[in-house]
Amino acid sequence: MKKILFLLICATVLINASDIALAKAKIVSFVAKELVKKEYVSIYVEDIDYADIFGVSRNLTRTNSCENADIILIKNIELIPKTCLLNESLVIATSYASYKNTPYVVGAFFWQKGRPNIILKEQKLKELGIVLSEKLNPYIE
Amino acid sequence: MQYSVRNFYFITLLILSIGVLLLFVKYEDTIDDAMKSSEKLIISRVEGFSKNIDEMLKKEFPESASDIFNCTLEQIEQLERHLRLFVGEQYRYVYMVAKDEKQRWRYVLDGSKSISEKGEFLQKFSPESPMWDEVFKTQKPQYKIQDKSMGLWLTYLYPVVRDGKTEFVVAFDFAIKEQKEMGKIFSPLRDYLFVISFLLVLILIFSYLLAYLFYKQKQKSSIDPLTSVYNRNFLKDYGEKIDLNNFAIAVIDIDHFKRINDTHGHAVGDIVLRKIAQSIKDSIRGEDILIRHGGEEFLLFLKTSHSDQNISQTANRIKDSISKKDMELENINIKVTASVGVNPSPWMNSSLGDAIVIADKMLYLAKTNGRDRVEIFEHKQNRDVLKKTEDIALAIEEERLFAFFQPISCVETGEIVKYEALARIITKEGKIFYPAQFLPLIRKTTTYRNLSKTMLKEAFWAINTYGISVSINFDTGDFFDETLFEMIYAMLEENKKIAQKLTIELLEDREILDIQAIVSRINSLRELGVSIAIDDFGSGYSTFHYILSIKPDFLKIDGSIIKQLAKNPHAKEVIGAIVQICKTLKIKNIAECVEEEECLEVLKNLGVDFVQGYAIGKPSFALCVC
Repeated sequence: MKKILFLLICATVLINASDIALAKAKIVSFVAKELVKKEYVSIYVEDIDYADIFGVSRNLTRTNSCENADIILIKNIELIPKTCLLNESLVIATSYASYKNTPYVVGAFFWQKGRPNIILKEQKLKELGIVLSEKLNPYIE
Repeated sequence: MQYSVRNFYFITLLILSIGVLLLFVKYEDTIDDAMKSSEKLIISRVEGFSKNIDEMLKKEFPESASDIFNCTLEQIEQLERHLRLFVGEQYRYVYMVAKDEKQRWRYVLDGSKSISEKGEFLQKFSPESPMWDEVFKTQKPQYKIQDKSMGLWLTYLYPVVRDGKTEFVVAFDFAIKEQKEMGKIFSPLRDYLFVISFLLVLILIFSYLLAYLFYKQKQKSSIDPLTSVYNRNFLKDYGEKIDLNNFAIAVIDIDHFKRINDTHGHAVGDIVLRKIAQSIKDSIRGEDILIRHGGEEFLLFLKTSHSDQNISQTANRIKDSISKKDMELENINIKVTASVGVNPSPWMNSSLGDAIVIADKMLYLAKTNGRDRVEIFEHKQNRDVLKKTEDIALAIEEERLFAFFQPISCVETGEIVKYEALARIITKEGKIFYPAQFLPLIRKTTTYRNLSKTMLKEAFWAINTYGISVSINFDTGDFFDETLFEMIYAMLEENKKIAQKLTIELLEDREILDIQAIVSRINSLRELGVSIAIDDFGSGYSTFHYILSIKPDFLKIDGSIIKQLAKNPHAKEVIGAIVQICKTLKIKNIAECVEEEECLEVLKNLGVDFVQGYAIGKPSFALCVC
């Protein structure tokens, strides 16, 4: 079931791949809603490549203040104020390198070899007391 | 007619379009086949590379491939260098993945040059399709055409198997550029195909345009500029395509039109023609076809969804509309009438020409009966009379045209002085047809000329064989036919020695307007020794004017007068007067249709020179010259 769901997302992503923004928005929306348990998720975007997801998804709202964001999308952790990293905002990396090298991040969304990747850090989830539905289990490590 | 041409071009365009479409479909199929063949070739090559990688792993890890997980990062980097050798324009990514204890895919080796695209050692890998698991499970290589959005063309997977267990899967992601390169090989073909198809369509459009212009021009040439109705060209081009089953044919001739031209000039004549054409057009429907057939003669094809009675009404309406038409031109009031001959059922004739001849014959009947009238042919009553022109031509060819000879005797001596050669056609069934039954059909045709030639030959044969005098009938109108006249003249010249034994009897089928032209030709024949007789004098068009102009050697008193001898006392006086005139003018006279012995004595007393008829002898095929 989980695999099918993921494949469905992938298929949707691939079918509509001409609209990369839509694909990114769907993935972010899918994971973000599970992480924050909200229908509408406010996101602070540090990675400019993800600035276009708001125009195509109703569930995602952009915030210019990282303190008020439910989720912070980062490419370079150095550019995020420490205060934001210490509050309740969930930090998600947009590259594997950021994910691997940043202790604050709870997970990552990124494209590699033309394929969308979702990774969620099990230990961090436990720390934050986040319990995810089973459909996200394949992405937890 | 133009519709059929349009249909032809439409069908051609349709066929061409389907042809081009099929060509492209076939082309696409061929390209697909070629691409598949190329794919197979590429796959067999990459399979070779995969086996090399497998061999390399065997060499590096001879005991178990899983030993790779014990390698240092430097050793991993060393192995990845081998994979990097394959990465280039053709293979975008070359990497190796394995499943961990939780059955999650993880990168083991990755030859990718780009850091962002390179999967790190043991980094989680998310496959995009179930093919990865299938390869892992089936231990058989597979490939898949990827979605273009991935920036990949094809992914090839090769399982690395040790002791029956799949250890790794080697993946080759082909760059989309490779596919484009393959497509480039065939693109010139596609371009040529486009150019050829485009040119074909262009040629077809141009030829359609040319044909359209040609038919537009042809249509223009089919319109009479004076009256704006169709002219003879139309009949020539499209006449045979008119379905006679749907039309009645009427020939409309303006009475005494020559007088209008002679009296008021051709300019007025032209205006009259225009007005009459308009008048006819106003009296017919759009589906009827009006053609200016001659100077003052119109041919009308009347659509016959209606009965004979309606045809008659239409013809009379046309006639009346002409006679009632206001022809006041520049203070000149011209009274115009028209005669109409109608063939209501042309489908009963073998050809359009025959059908027109019938209508024409009816027109002459209308003229004969006093003009300004409509005469309609009744096919049912004349079914036996009408025969196809082809039948008559065949009869001549098969020598079934015979000259029957009827004796003409001297009243005084009772001696037969000459014979009249009369044409008869005998059918294969033995039925005899008389000139009135077939001549109207073939007049002014080659068949008519052939018939005349045969009759002349028969006459000369009789003269040569029996030394008798023979008379033969010609219509005065025949002498207007250049070809026919030249033929008669040539045959007489050829038989000049016996020509004095031949008499040409002139029949009057219609009014001769240019009598001098006829006289001139008759005189030229007379110079060859031929005698001239005027036939049927006292009826129809045979008038004293002809006697004075032609100055015949013989005058044949019309049979209708002779037949009245017994019942009409005035007939005797009329015959006596004609005989007296003949004697004064030194013209020999012949009474025809003498059927009773009693008449002979009366005619003898009246001074008639010669007699002809059943009382003397019937026309006979077998000549009995005593």
